[in-house]
Amino acid sequence: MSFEDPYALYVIAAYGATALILGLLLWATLSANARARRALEESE
Amino acid sequence: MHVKASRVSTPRIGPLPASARVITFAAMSVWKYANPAEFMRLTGRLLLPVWAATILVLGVGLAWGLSVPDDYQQGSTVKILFIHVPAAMLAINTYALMAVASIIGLIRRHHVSFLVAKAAAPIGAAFTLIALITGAVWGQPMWGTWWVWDARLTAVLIMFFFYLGYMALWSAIEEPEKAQDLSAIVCLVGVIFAFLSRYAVMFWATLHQGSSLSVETGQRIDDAFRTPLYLCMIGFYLFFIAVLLVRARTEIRLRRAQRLRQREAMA
Repeated sequence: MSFEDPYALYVIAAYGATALILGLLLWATLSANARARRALEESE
Repeated sequence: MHVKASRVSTPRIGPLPASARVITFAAMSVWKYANPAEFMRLTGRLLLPVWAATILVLGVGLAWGLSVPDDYQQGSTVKILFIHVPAAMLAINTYALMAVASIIGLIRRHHVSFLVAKAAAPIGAAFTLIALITGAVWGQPMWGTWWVWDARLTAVLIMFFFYLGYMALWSAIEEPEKAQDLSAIVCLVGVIFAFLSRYAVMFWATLHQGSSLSVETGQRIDDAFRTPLYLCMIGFYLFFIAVLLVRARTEIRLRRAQRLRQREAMA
């Protein structure tokens, strides 16, 4: 795949969107986990 | 008065066949680890190896996938296959997992089952969104359109709305017992669309092609693409397991913290 490839933008868009969605999912998951851990520690 | 153990009459059954013993052992193990404390202990040990395997397999799979030669018809858009196919598989299979967990929860009244279903929903929704976006991005250069209202695509879109509805219902109802029951019922109603997402191509003539990897129809994909595709599939599944474990642990912690607060308020 090179920049002369007519489909390069499509491939980059697909991988970029996937990375963004999985990154957001991971961030939301880890931050929620940290909040839950703190909440449990405070309750205990 | 003591009774000898040998005198206690127990029903005598013959030795179980190996398959029945394996199923019984698996079922007993599942119930053992469905206990929140056991679940936390086991998953705490599993998390690190699962994350390590995810990074390794997904990294190799994606790097390999991005370096395959162009397809003679699809050109470099074939590389989208390595994320679209695993994401679509996980979108459907996550819904199936949620449905099974919901049924177990409704029948056995088991909180961990409901919490696993709840934890899986955002992951399934994310993979469904990835499948829809990457499918559209592939469809534009190959089909000449971003979207068609064919049976499979429409079923996947409706399944995505069921994911959103399921999550919205969980967050809209404050009472956990009621929220888990109602969301489980919504999940079970949506099963038909998960089923259609998988099998619509067999029932109707759709623009979306059928399976490229199938035991019945044989392999319809070149070796150059098959191995990295398998690696990406395994990598995506490992990612799913890792995130699911973290989310399920989060839900269990939150439920425990909520119970402790309630107990403290009552004391």
